[in-house]
Amino acid sequence: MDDEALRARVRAFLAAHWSAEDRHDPVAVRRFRALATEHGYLFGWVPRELGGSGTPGQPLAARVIAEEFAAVRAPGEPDGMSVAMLVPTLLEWGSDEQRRRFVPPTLTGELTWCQGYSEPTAGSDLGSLRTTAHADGAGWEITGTKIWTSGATEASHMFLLARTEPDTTDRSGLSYFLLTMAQPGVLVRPLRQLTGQAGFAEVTLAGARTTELVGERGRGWEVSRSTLRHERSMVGGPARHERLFAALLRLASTPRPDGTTALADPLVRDELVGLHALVEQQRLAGRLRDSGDSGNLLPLTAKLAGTVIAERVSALALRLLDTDVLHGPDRTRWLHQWLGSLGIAIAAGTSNVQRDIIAARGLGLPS
Amino acid sequence: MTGLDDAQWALAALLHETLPALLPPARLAAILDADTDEDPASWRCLTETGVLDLAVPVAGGGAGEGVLTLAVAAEEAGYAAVPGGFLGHVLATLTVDPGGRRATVALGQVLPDARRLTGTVPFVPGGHAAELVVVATAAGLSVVDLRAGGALVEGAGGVDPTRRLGTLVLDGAAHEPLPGGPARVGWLVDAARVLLAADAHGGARRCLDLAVAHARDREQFGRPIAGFQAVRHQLADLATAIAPGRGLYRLAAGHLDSGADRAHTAAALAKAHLSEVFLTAARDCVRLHGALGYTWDGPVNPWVGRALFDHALHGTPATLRRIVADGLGWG
Ligand SMILES: Cc1cc2nc3c(=O)[nH]c(=O)nc-3n(C[C@H](O)[C@H](O)[C@H](O)COP(=O)(O)OP(=O)(O)OC[C@H]3O[C@@H](n4cnc5c(N)ncnc54)[C@H](O)[C@@H]3O)c2cc1C
Repeated sequence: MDDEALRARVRAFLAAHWSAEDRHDPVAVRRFRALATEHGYLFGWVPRELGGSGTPGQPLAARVIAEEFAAVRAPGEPDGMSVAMLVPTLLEWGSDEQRRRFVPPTLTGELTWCQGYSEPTAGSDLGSLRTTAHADGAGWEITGTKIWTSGATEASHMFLLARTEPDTTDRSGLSYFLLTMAQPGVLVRPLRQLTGQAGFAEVTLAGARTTELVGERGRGWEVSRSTLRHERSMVGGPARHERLFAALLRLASTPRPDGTTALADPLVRDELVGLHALVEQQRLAGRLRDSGDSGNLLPLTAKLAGTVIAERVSALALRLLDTDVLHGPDRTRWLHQWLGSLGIAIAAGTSNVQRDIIAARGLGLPS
Repeated sequence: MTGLDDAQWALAALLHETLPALLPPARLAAILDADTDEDPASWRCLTETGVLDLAVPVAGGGAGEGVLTLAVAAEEAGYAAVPGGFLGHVLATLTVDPGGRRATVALGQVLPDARRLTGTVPFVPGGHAAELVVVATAAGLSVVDLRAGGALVEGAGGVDPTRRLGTLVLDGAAHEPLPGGPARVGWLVDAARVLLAADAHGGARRCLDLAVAHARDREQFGRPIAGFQAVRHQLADLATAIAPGRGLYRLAAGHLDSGADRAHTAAALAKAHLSEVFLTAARDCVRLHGALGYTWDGPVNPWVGRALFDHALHGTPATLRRIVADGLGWG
């Protein structure tokens, strides 16, 4: 089907089955997602028997669908940790039994996941992590401390890396596990972020138990790479930038007490157009990538490019806020974005680590 | 004009040595969540070293010093993240002898002149602990006694938990006009800008020191992150942005003390630039600390709030740069 025919069909489906008022009603959202999946609009990359629609191989079609859904604020595929990161990893590495048990309830949101990678002494140098997993007759016993774990207080499960080969200190001795959060050996201490909100946590694993090893023992690093790849494209997601830019434009267009708008200020206009180009370029880059027209370098730059956008949006927003900054993040929501852009620059691989990846893998530079 | 005399040097050295030790990370983290930004230990230090009376006239038992000496102290207060009402109090002492009482200034709004004052003034620093407040009216500066009725400071919050802001609410408050007329209002706002610029410079220096110390301590990939050239270059760039900054606020302070016309432009230039450098320094410091820097209780957070405060109180850089361009006659 060509683009325009598909577009028309998606529009008709949305007109018949979606109304934007329902977007805050979880039951309606779930029902709509199930219907959209049945029609083949969502989770095409997930096989039918695992709760997807099993219509793979058409990234361009997926993009057209995502654009049409976004235009009427219909819920697409959730872009959180669970669906965007864990499911692809399980499809690639999980046993049949693990896929059957974990994929369908993750797609519906029944299971939610947090990512237990970082530790107090292992951030950028993830391969040096110290949490150990010890095999006994009944499964695995996991001991160590995970930190800055996003969403740990709400998640039902964690996917994590732990050291199974005691005489190693690097990435070669790691394995990838799934575990249930609700058990005596898991202790979650919420940690607040600069915004004042408890977005992440310290998770103490004191003999936590699991039987779910994903992939082979000792190959956890490879398994985790597929998760990280998905995380990076998620953080760099163009839809997020478009929403952010649209909000910034609204802020700039809001009349000030003297009746003028910041949008009329040539300096502000200039920066806004510069940002518009960055956002537009990321959107189009997504298409280039989907049509296979981009090579190896472009995807590796997505996270850093997204960070640059978030930081430039922040700088301009701070200017537009003027003295409203003084009210603080509780009353001035844009300060969350200003502070949050620092989190973006650190999470999922800091900007320096991204630069290393681009230099080594994208440009092939020797180390 | 930007040089210090021996006594000013000694003051800076003394405060540099004493204040940060009184405000270790755990103490600052506790203040972020406390009901009040008052910190008895550092306030006692400022009292005992005479900092709070620096600008009080000699006749009133003070040192009769001016904006420059206060700014030297403000830089060190910024370095240490001194919490509470220091800024408002010392600004008030530039215009009135508080006679041992806690004072502050409310300059965010020029009130209509009347025998009794009515109106609200936002963004009053340290107002919840003050007994006296210096306000701006169309006729000039005036003193309001917050104990005398008809005047109170509501709320204590805002972007910097170490320096909370309240709103002054006046409802037929009696007041005592100060000499100098409307020009004195502008002068005191300029002094506030200079002290904020000095605070910003001190805060930026601290961010650099924190980042350097963390880079030495934190090991990843089997060595201190200070060994990675990218980190070294980022620290060197930050140092380059901060190192030359002091002269801007010192020049403006000197102009204010000598009553020079250029003071207004110089104060705006100093605060516009130094507060912006402070924001950059705070953000770089967070990045170099990784997720630890992004944590509320972490070592950098107090200076993030202070950088936003210095940025926005009494004119953002964008506003101040317009003042500079006008002041320099650029049409
Ligand atoms: C908002 C947020 C959410 C997060 N969520 C999760 C989560 O859900 N699960 C999880 O496991 N982790 C999570 N993290 C942790 C994140 O993965 C780590 O913060 C990140 O990997 C960096 O590690 P670090 O904080 O220890 O910083 P460090 O690795 O200590 O880095 C400190 C500084 O040194 C620099 N640096 C380090 N190595 C090099 C080098 N070789 N060359 C040049 N510069 C270098 C860094 O760029 C940084 O500026 C989250 C972090 C944040 C901020």
